[in-house]
Amino acid sequence: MLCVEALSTQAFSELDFSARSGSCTAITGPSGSGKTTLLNAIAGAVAYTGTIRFAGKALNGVPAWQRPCRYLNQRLYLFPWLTVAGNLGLAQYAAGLPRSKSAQMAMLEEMGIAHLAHCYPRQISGGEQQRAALARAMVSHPRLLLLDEPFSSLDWEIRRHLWAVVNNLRQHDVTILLVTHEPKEVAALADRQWTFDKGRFAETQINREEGRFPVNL
Amino acid sequence: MAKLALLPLGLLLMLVTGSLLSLIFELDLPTLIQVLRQPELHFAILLSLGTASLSLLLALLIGIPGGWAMARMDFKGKGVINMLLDIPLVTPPLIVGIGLLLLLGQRGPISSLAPGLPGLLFSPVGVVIAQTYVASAIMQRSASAAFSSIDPAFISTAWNMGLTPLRTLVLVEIPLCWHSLLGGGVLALARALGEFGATLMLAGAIRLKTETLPMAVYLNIASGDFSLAIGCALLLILLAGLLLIVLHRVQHLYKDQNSAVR
Repeated sequence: MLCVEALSTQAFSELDFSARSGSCTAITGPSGSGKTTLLNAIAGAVAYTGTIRFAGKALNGVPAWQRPCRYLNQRLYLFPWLTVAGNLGLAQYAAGLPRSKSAQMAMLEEMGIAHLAHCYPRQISGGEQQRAALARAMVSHPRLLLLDEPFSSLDWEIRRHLWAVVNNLRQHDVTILLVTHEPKEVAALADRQWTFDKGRFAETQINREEGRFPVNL
Repeated sequence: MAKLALLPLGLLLMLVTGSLLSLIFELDLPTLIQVLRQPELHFAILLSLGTASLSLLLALLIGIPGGWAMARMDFKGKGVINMLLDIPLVTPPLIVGIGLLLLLGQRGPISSLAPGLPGLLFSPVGVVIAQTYVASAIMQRSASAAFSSIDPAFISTAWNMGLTPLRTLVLVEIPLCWHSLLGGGVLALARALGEFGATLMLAGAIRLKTETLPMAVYLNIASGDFSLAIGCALLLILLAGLLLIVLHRVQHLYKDQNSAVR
């Protein structure tokens, strides 16, 4: 369970909300309203006041490298001198896990890019890089995944594939916060939606009429 | 107009190549072979390579963390410290040497803390201190520029993955800017090999004791052994040329690597 209480940053103040374990919560709102800042605060990348708790543990004062979350945005920052598998290996090492080739390949298989394991990031397409970055984020089995419009630059076919992948993650009890501008993405993935609007942050109804895209491949 | 602009370039090139060729053709082959067999020359080569390698190692140990701190940390007086760190780059080496001698010598404040140090100055230790001083300044400046050029989002990504700042430095930041660090290391080594002014002040010009290649040139010019002085100068040019080739190879390797993975 993620609990955010009286959270204030430079972009917003006194924000409260919670997300149950294994759920996907969409964060929407106009540009500059504080969506990305909210994820950065949870990831420990910006200063804030208030309380953030995850799985009963307060994250205040916990440095960014010890927080139980993985962050993924449009700019992927795959390490360019490492292959796709090498990026996953470094993520395993960073999380204190053994560099397991089989775990790397299983994760890449799940993303449908196992055949690209030995390619460098610049040798693969944007959609493949996105899947590689998602695989790197997931290979260390985080319990909280922060997604900041990670699919917005991709075409619909790849998006639908990745939505299926993200929906599968929830079966592993991964809590997901998804920042997005795309109502279809909210309809396809989210259980709840919170919206920044004119300085307020409130739960809003998901518009299922936007048409839930079939997420099966 | 364009041709006129080539005139100063031609003059500069003429001076560079002219002085180089004058040195190269000063000695005929038998004299050069004879000079290359002299024990004094062998001593100067070994001392130069030994002290410059040790100085480079020390410069890396000082310059890389120092450059990282200047690039990543914010603290009071950073602007002043930044300026102070440039002093070794703009001060004449002879003046640097006098300053170091006054600091580390018998009358200096350090001698009360480390009484044995002044006795080590006019020896290869003094050579290493002088070379490390100038090489560290170059290495620190190169490292600071290299770390500053890294996109901070790579560091946030590494932290988010669970890497501590130290592991991020070793596993992410250094691999991201290794070519710049290596380039800085090559320049620092070249500067250490060619160091003369500060070494003269701090280690003295003592034949077969503190006689690096630049010192051998100075000593043999002074004593009139022109052939040996030219032989040492040619070796310094050869070493500088080799380092220049390494520097260019590193830059090409980096470009090739980048274009290969595009």
